[in-house]
Amino acid sequence: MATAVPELSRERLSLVAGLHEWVVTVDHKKIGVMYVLMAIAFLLIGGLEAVLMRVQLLWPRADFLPPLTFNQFFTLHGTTMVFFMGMPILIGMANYLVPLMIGARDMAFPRLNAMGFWVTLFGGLLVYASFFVPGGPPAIGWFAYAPLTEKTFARGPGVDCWALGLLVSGVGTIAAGVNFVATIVGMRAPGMKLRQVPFFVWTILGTSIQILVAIPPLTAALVMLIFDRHLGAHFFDPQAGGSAYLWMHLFWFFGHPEVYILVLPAFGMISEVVPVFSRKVLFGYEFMALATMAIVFISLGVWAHHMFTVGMSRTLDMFFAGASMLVGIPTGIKIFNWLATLYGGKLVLKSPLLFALGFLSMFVIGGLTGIILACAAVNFQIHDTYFVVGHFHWVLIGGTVFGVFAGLHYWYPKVTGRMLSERLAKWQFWLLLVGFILTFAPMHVAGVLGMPRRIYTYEPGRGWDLWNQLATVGALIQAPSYLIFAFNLVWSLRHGELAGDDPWDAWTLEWATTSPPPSYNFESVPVVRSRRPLWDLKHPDDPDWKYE
Amino acid sequence: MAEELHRPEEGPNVEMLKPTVWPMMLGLGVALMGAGVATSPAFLALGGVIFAAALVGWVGDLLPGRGHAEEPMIAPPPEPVAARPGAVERLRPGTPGYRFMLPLKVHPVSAGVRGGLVGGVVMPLPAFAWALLSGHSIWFPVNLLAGTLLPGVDGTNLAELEQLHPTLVLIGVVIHAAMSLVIGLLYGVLLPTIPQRVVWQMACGGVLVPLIWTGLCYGLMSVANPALRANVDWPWFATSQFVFGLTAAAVVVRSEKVAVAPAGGP
Repeated sequence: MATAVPELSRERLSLVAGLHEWVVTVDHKKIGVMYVLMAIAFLLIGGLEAVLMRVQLLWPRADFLPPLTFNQFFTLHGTTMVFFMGMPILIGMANYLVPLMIGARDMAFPRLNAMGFWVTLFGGLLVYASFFVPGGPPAIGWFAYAPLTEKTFARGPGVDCWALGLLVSGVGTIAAGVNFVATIVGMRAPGMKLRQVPFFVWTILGTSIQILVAIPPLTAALVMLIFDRHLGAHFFDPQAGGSAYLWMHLFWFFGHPEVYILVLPAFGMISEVVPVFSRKVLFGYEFMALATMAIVFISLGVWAHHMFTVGMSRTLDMFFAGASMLVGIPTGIKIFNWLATLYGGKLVLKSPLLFALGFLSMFVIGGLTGIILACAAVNFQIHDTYFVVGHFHWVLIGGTVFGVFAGLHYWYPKVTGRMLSERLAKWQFWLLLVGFILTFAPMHVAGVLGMPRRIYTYEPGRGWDLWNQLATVGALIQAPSYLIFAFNLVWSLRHGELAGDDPWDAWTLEWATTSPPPSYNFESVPVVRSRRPLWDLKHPDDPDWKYE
Repeated sequence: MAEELHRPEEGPNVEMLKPTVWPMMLGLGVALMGAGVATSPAFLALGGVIFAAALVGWVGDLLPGRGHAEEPMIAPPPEPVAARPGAVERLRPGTPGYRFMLPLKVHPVSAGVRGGLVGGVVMPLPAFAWALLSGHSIWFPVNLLAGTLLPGVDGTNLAELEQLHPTLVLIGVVIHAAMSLVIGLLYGVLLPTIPQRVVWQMACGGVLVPLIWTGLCYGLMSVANPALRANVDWPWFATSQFVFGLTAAAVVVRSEKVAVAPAGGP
């Protein structure tokens, strides 16, 4: 016992010192890891909310959750997954990878980078602090349509916590966007032209441009909402001369590009994984870059396809329908390029490629249902039904989540120096794939059969029972896949196979340094002459730059 | 990269930013002020104080000699990097696929555009033939097509659908032209990726794709365009698709191949 006390003190001291090191860090890699860990924590919370909602919808007239709680959960679920899981995990991975990929020592503004993470985390906590205020969390949906958010309909401070949480975290997102643009434009390694950056970097540049254009209108709308609620303004109060329609425009001007903010980085991850695991260069790099930028700009002009049924003019309906369908073209180009990269390749079916293939197959389906919804005539029929819920989740899980898992399995060895367990990864993949299809495919059918979204229960005999039961079973199959992933992350940290610096025989600069990399990333600044600098380094007799 | 590494004139140390608590404190201040607006002025005041202190601390870090520190380089230079044997199978020089060469010559993308346009011109012929043989006017299929984009056409009576409506014709033509062009472009991109035998390319472009497209339309039209679903004759619809597919594929396949420009420029 006499020796146990000092041992314990030393452990406590090292724990405190370790925590302190992370709290004060400005290292892009540590900040990236903190973003990802925060996002995974919110993923588990948002996922739990989803499972509880699915249990409520398992049977008609169920009373597992009261109506208000159900509304609060779908509000928090949507908000959490979009703002505190989706964006942070992508920003975190980009934080970790972009400087390494372009041969920089850190981001352009490291302190701003750290602040971006902290305001995002505190913003999320502020939203969840609404559990402790009178009236509890908001029950307004993640889109928070006016005038539901006005004091008349939402008297408690839950809506304020929601709005201010998003406002605060939005500051972090904008800071990240500024930082990425500055880093990519100004801090590339000597010789690395923009047309030679790894494709993931292109997608982060595109995403950052979208962030800088799309988030400020949301911030403005949130400030206006706070003014409405606290200073007696009437921006969104139709009875006092305001406009609920204005909120919709401002929200969806952010909300639709947001889908691409969430999916473009996943495109980038897939574009890194597919070539390495096909043992081929990315097919049509220039076209892919052009397609990315086309998606960035076209997607800024499609927001009102969320509003076909509010009674816009026919001209506007047609414009937004046409523009929305147009996005399918550059996206289709990408799909063909990934397929062409796989075609004839020597495929290595490890977990990153498995998730990438899951992404490819699922995202195509999600994209097609998006084109169906872009058609104004169809949208009138299935607007606000479960078809939309099915489509949205198909895109964001089939696209973003599968893409992110491909990326996490690919880069985990770089971050930790250890491999993730392949066996656990395969369990995770198959449970996720089967559970995902079983959850969201039936929602499309229920939607076409007329089941409205956001209802907390339904009457029997409408033909919706079976589809809801299938969806709930699917959610219960999916849920363990996320837990397996969380377990794999922790277990492999100690027990995973040692990875070495370049376990996949890859080609981009992040693999040219140690795993994990030192705080300064590279001992010397690399000089780049092609898109696959590490290939050139490993094959001086047959470098890529001779062919590019 | 990189037969060489550019080594700037630096010693064994590298100048890095010092860790600092102020970004976290600034974030905390902002969040507390937000919480204050939502709940209590006490949070607002506390957040304001923390924010101001953090701002001062942050600006202090920017003063000369305050925010940076020399950090020793502890890791050995990582190059040359060796792949971990067994993780992935490495391709050796000389083995197939080691340097996968793209075709030196491909059909130009413009062939796809031409194929789409020619196919688009020929495709309406079966549609018009069906209209006339079944006792409709030639405007009938055009008006039906416009219903894909325009809500309300499915509520129009049959007699109205037989008439010429300039708006519907314009929309129908735009839809037809856009679809022909896009699918023609896809043919231009896709057909060269199919094994280089003409019969396979024609089978894919002329039969397989029209079949899939017809199936897709059959499944979706009840939602996308109920008027077209109810009134169209599906064998004739499929015939139109085959005519388009065969024509567009033939134009692409017959086009002269052009050399592929080297990636990345000279």
